[in-house]
Amino acid sequence: MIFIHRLLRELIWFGPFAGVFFLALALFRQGPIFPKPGQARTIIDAAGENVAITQPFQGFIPGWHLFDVLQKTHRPEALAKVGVNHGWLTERLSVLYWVYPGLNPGAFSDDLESILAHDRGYVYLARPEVKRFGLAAPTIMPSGRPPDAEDTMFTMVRVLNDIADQSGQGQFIIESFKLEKALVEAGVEIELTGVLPPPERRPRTLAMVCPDGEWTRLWGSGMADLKLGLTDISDGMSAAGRESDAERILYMNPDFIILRVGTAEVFLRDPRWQGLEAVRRRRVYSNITDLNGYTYDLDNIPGAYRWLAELVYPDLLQPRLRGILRAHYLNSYQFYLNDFYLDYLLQLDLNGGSSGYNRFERHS
Amino acid sequence: MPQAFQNPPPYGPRLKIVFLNSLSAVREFRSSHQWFMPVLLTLALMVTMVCSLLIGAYPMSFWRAGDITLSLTLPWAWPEEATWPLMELAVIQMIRLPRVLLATVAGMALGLSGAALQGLMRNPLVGPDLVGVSSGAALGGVFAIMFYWTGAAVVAMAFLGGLLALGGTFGLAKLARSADGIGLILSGIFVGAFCVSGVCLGLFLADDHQMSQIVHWIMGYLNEASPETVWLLTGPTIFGGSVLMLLRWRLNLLSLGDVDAFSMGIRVRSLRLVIIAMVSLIVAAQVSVSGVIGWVGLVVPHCARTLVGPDHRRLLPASAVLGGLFVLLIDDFSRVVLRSDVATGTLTALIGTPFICFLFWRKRNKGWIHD
Amino acid sequence: MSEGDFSFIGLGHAYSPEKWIFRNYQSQVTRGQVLALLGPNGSGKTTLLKILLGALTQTEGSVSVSGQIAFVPQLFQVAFDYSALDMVLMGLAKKVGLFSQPAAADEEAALKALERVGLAHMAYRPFHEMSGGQRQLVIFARALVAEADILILDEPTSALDLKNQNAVLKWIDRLARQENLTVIFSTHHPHHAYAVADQALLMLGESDYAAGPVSEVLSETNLWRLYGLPLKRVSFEYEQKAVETLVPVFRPRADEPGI
Repeated sequence: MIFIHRLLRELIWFGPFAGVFFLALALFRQGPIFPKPGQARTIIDAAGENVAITQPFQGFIPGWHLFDVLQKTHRPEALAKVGVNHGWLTERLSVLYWVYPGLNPGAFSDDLESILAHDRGYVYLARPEVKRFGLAAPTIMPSGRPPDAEDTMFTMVRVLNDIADQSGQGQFIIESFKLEKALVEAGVEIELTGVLPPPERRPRTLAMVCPDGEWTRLWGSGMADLKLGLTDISDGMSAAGRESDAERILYMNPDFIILRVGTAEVFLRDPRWQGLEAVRRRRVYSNITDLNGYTYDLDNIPGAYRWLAELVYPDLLQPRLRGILRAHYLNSYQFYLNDFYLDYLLQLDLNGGSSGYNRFERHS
Repeated sequence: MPQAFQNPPPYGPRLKIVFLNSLSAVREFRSSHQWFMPVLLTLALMVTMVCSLLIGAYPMSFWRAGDITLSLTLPWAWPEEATWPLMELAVIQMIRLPRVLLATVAGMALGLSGAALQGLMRNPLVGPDLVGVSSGAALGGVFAIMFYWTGAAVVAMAFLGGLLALGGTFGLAKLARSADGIGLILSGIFVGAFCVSGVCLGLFLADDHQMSQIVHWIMGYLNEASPETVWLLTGPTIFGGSVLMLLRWRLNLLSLGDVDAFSMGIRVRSLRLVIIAMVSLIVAAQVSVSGVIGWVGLVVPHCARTLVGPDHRRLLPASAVLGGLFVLLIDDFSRVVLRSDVATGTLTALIGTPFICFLFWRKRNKGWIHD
Repeated sequence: MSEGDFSFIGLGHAYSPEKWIFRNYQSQVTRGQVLALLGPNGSGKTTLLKILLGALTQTEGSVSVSGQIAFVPQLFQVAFDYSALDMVLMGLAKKVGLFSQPAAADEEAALKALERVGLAHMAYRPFHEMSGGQRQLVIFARALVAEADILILDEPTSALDLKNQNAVLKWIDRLARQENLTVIFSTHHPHHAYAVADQALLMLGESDYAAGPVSEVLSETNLWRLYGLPLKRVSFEYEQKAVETLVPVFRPRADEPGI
């Protein structure tokens, strides 16, 4: 009796630990086994796997693929209002907010439980862990390829449109893009035929990063300068470090600068750069979010090419950018970009102080 | 028998005598009915855990959730034909249960190790994050991550890191000849800072995936709850915790002076080493699974001390249970009310800091005496 | 040598080579006797006690002890607010196994020890709510609960007022005469040693010491050598009993001889 009493006294403090351990044993219970979807279509995703998509298809839960879905399927009603981090939503492309006005109604919750509360007909794009719950989570981006490579984008288009059961639309988008790109490039080529200056008289270009008043970094250009016959003077250099990049830039003295990050006006005023040729001629231009913020968005690539070409050879090319952009949005989205929208898209205030940017203004 | 101080002084305000007598009556009740507090705390913890399983972002009726929870937890209550929607079962069993368990066990680990550390260092102002063992464990884990190791290897490296850090703190304090005073806290800050700078160096060298993992570690997170991580945490905690629980009376003895302890036959050095090793093990497991969650190890033993007194036989388990409750409630708050991935470490700091200020203000140097 | 006997011979200790604190000390105490250690500040009393306890290894000489030793330190600060019962319970460390907790029997023994020192009603009071005298008694109880044969006390009367000093001396006397324990204590007050001790050890210098029965050792000459102050043996009658004690003759005036 005393022994039991003593044992109880000892054990009573082990009670809570035993309780927690007991609860932890529930983890060993058999988990739920999800049956295969009754009606399903099989598609091949970007990784080459077969994925069963429950019929009927209800929509996408996009995660950070929100704009990919919009651009590559043109189907905003297929987006569930869940699964996108609200803060991220407000940072990105602006034009699609006009094209699809209901896009930003408020905060979307992106925790797993809220996502799972949706119908099985929804397809999850950015959360591979939902596979544990028997739901389809196809890969839409091929791994191992750079995100801005054309084949990456085409694969995404194909997979997304297959999931949404509109493969024809996917084909159409790809063909339209190819056509548009070919047209724009051909247009530039034709205009430049015969009048392209010899290599030593073409502008020496550079893409760099310089947040206002702060550090400096070279940026591998990847611009379409090869077609325009340009030389990127930072070709072959890798970013070494912020101070040495500033010194190298001053030494290389480019004629034409694209700022991936940073405001052109601030750059032009900065006393560090006053000796540069590009600053003297005011040929410094900031990235436009819509055009070349993310170069792997299908909408922007032809427009971005024309934008760069017109800035590099302003006297040789006619100002046709507005028309090209307008045509693209009419074609793809049946949306008319009026003058106000175009001014906003082209961010005239951002680069207003740089040489020749007024060519993008409306002509009355 | 010396008469001089057998009775309390005959003079003095009556109210004071009544108050002192009632206080001692409460103390006597507590001492003679020692089952009261542990039962109360156990009940509170169990009820909170079960209730945490019933709440969440997934829309589910309360009764359905209760039904599923009961069947899950009671081994005999599993019905032959489960009539619940599979998704609801999945939510409770695969999302909520691991997370609730992870939060509770992490809190218990921190409470236990915090109380042991305070007893070991004879100073109630320390916690695992202040003496460098958490940052040391994080550094060890970063090391493992840089080499792409996973699972138990990370825990082992974290253990090594935590042990070295804690040993370093002690050694540095001994060099400064202040083994249990302000020198100890300062050494902890130095060692902790060194380890954090090591972690930042790891950040600089890491690639994207490693970087997100490392950043998570510094802030403390409970998102990666799965049965594997729960067991990765529970295993070492059970082992280290058992050793600490068995040694909990000996922790009382550590607050005596060196000669005193020797005369009572206590080998202070080996006892200290064992406790340091166990604390490092527990904290290492906790850090490798859920990052650096600060303040819990400092605040919770204080609360436990006001509830059950400073005797470590009661303090260690009470601190563990309170720690589990604390972290669980914070995690519930962030999971249900905030509904986003706020780092747990941020919340514990936000809540813990004003709490400890409140404790200072209330106690005003009663309850502990330090140099 | 029976239980409770204590002796050391040729005892010497040096912190660093050639810096001896004391050298060639020798004494012997039998069961039930009280030994008092006297010496000015810094003469190494605590070191000697540590050596007798076994906490410090002596540089030369040998100590022979038979029986268990319990130690009563000077009043100290505890980091946490333990109750009196918890403090006394600590004395049972040798009896409680490494991984065990004290049983109900141990707690009863602790309570009994508190009863013996008359503090049973304070068993659950926190340590800091007690007066200095009560705290010293709690530490006493802690030493008693271990049921040792030899008790070593480090300046047990230094921090106490007169009333409590008397109580502690009464305790030492009782422990030695009635409970037959061997008691060794160090003190600053020769009249304490005179009142209670059987033997005394005066630490006069490096190899210089005086040891033996109190009546011999605590002579006026020795005390003058030890303290540099005259102490007079005084006898008088009080309550029909003959009382003999030592009285220091303080010489506070600047022009008087003495230190």
